[in-house]
Amino acid sequence: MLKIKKAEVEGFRGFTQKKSIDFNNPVILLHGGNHQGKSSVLNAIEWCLYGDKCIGERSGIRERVGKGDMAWRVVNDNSEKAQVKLVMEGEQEEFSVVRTEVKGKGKKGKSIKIYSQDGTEKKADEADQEIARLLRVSFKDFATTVYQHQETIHDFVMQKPSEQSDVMDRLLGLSDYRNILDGIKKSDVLKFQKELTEEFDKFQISVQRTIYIRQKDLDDKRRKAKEKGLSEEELNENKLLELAKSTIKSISNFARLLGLKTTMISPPSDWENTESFINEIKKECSRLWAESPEMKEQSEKQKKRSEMVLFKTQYETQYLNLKSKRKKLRDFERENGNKDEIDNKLKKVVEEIETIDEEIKRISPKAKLIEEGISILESAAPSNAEICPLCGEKVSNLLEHLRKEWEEKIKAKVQELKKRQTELYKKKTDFESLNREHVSLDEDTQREKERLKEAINNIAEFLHKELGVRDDPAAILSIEIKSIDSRLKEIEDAIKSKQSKIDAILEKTNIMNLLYDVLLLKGKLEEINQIQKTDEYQTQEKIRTDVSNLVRDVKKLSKIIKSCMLKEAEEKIDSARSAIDYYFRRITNNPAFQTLNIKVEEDKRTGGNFYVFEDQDGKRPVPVLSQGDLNSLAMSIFLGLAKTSGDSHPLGFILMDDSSQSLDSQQKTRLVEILNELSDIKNITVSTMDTEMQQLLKDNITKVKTIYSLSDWAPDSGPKISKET
Amino acid sequence: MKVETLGLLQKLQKKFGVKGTTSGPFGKIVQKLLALSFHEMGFTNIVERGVQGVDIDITSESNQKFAVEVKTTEKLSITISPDNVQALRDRTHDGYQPVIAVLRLVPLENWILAKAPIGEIPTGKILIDSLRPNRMKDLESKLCPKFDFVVRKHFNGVLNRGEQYLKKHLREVGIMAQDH
Repeated sequence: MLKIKKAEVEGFRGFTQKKSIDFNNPVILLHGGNHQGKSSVLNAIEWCLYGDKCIGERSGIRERVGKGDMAWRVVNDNSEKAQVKLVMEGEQEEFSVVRTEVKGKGKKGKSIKIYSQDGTEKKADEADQEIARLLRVSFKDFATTVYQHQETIHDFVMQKPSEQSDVMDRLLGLSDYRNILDGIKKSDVLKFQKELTEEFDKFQISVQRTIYIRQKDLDDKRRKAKEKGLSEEELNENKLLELAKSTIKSISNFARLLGLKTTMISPPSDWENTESFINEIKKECSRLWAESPEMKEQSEKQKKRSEMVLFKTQYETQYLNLKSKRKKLRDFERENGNKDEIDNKLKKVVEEIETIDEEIKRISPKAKLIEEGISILESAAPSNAEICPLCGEKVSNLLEHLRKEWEEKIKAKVQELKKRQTELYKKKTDFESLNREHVSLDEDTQREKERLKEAINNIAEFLHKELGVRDDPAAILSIEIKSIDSRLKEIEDAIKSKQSKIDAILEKTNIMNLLYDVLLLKGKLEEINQIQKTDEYQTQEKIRTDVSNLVRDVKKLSKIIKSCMLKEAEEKIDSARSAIDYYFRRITNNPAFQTLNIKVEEDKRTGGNFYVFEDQDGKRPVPVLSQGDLNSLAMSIFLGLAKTSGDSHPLGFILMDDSSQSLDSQQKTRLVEILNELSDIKNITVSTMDTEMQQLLKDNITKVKTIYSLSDWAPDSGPKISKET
Repeated sequence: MKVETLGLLQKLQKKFGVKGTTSGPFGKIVQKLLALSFHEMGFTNIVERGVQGVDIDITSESNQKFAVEVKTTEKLSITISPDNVQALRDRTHDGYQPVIAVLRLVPLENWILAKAPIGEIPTGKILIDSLRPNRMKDLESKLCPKFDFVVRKHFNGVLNRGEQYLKKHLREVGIMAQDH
C-alpha cells in the first residue's frame, strides 16, 4: 500500500513560503484555528496526486465549483507559482511527485514530474500515466474512501432530508453519474423536440389556411360548373379540350351563316393555354358579328336615324324661335304702332317743336326790350314818365305798369312755350326709342327667319330633295324616321335569330373558363402535395427523425445511467453495510439503534437514487436524528467504505478534515477509539480546530503520532508550523 | 396524405366528429377506412373492433401479424391509456406485434405506423414524433396511396350514411367488424 512520507508545499492556496511536513508516522494530527492552513495541507496532497481533476464541477466538491473571482484558486495570491512535492513509498518502491502551476500561464504553466528511486524522471503525459499506474485509485474513489472532505459532513448535517440523497451520492462517489444526469436534464432534448415539431406545426397551420382558401374557391367553381350541366367526372382536361374543338366548329358554322369567312383558330394544346384560346374565340366572335350584313346595316340605319332626329330637332327649335320673335314684334306694333306710324308721330312732334321754337324766337326780342326798359327805369328814368313803350298808352307809374305787363303777358307766355317745348322733346325721345326697338325686333325676326331657312336647306340637302315653302320639313323627317325604325325592327329580328348562335358559343367559353379555373385550383392544391417531395421537406423529416432518435437514445442512456448509479450504490452499501452499521452504533451509542440499515431505491420523481435509513424495526430515523447523529452517520459511511476497501486498497492512508463537527464529547471519544483501531491498517491524518478532539487524539491514540500546530498565518508568509512528536 | 384526402376527411370530421375530442363516430370511421386500406394492401384476417380490445388485427402475406392501435388527432401528441397497452399486450400472446397507427389531420402529414414493443410503450400523453424511431416506413409508403384511394372511393357513402355504410362494406369485403 502506498503511503505518504513527506509533503513540501509552496505557494499553494494558504501557503506562500515552502513548508515541509512529515507523514511517516501512523497518525498525523494537524491542529490550529480557522484559516490557519490545515485544510490547505490536505488539499495540497489531493491536488498533487490528481491535479485539475479535483477542481471544478466534475470534482463533485461544491466549494471547488465556480469561475472568475469565485474560482477555487490553486496559486496563493502573493505567489507566482504553486508547487507541491509528495514523497511516497510503497512496499518496494519510493518516488516523488512534483506538481507545479504558474499563475496566469493557463495550461502551459501546469506541469507534473515523477522522480523514481533509481533517478528516472517522467513528466507531462508520461507522468500522468505513471501516477495513475501507481495510485490505481480514481479521483472519485479517492474522494470517498481516502479523503473525507469537510463539506460532505457539513452538507449531510445541514441539508434538508430531501437533498440528503445528493450528499449520499457524493459520499458514495456517484457524482459523475449525477453530473451526467444533470447535463442530460439541462440539455432538455425533449423540449427541443417539442419546439421543433411546434415550429413545423406553425407551417402546417399556414398551409391549412392556404388549402382552405383554395378549396373554397375550387368548391365554388365546381358548383358553378355543375350548374352549367357538367358532372364531377367531366371536370377534367379532356372535357375542356373537347369543348374547345366544339367551339371552333360552332364558330365556323356561324361564319357560314353570316356568309363570312373564319380566321383559322387552333384548339389549345393543353388546358393551361385555355385563356389565350378563349380570347381568340371572343375576338373572332366580335369580328364576325361586326362584319355581318345585318349588323352593318343596323349600324348605318342607326346613324342615319340619329342624324334625322338631330335635323328635325334643329328645325323644330328654329321654327319655335321664329314664332316667338314674330309674336313679340306683333305685340309691340299692336301697342306702339308699326314703323310708319311711329315715324309719323315723330315727324309731328318735330314739327311742333319747330313751331314753338319759332314762337319763342318771336317773343324773345320784345321781351328783351322790356327787360332793358325796366332796367333803365329802375335806375335812371324819372318817375313822371307816363307813356308805356309797350302798349303806347299813357299810364301813371310807368315802371310799375311795365313790371305788371312783363309778369302777366310775356313771362307767362314764354314759360308756357318752354314747358310745351320740354314735353315735346320728351315725346320725341320716346318715339325715337320706340323706333330703335322696332328696328331691333324686326332684325331679330329676320335673323331667325334666316336660320330656319338654313335648317330647311340642311334637311333638303340631307334628304336630297327640294323643299318648297309649302313643305313641312318636320313632317317629312318624321315619315323618314318611321321608315328607318321599321327597317331597324326587321334587322333586329334578324339579329336576334343569330344572337342565340353566338350566345351558345360564348356560353361554351364560359364553361371552358370554369373548367380552366377548376383545373388551375386543382393544380394549386396539387402543388401542396408536391411539398412532401421537396428536398427541404425531406430534410426536415430527417432532422425530426434524427432528433427523435436522439431523444430515444438520451432516454435510454439516462435510464442506463440511473440503473448503474443504483447498482453501484447498492454494491457499495452492501459491501460496507456491516461496517457502517458498526461505526454508526459505535459512535452514537444510541440505545434506540440496534441496527442501522441503508436501502437505496429509485427516486420515482427524479429517477435518481433515493436512500432510506431504517432501524431494526424498519422505522426511518433520519428526520429525528440530531446533527451529531447525522455527522456520525456520514462519518460511518466514509469510514465504512474506507475500511471495506481495506487491504485491497492501494492507498494506505486516509485524510479527515474537521471530522468532529457537531459531535458531543462522548461521540468524539468513541470516534477516536475507532480511528485508533483503523490506524492498525491505515495511516491517518486528521485536521481539526477542535481542541477537545485534539486532546482526545493526543491522549487516546496508541500509535506513534506526529502533531503539527498551525498558527499565526499571514498573507506574505503563510502559517507557522510547529511540530511535536 | 393528399390534400384532397385531408379535405374529404375534414368534411367527415365536421359531420361526424365531436369538437375538441378524438372520440365520436369520426374516429371509428377513420379506423374503418384504415382497415379497408389494409385490405387493399393485401392484408388478410382483418378484424376491426369498434369497442373493446385492439382496434385492428391484420396478417400480411408473409404471415406477419400486427395488432394496431389507431389514433386520430389534430394535435402534436396522442394519449395512450393503460387499457390500450393492455389490449396490445393481450394480442402479443397470439403472436401479434403491437403497432401504433397515428394520423394527424393537418396538411403534409401521413399515417405513422410505429412498432410498439411491449415494455417500451409509454402511457399518458406522448409526442407523436417520439414514435419516429420505430416507424415502419415500407408499410407506411404502401399504406398512404391506398388510404387516399379508399377515402376518395367511400367518401360519398360515408357522408350520406355514416359508419353504417362502412360496417356494411367491411362485411362485404370479408373484414370482421366487431362492435361489442
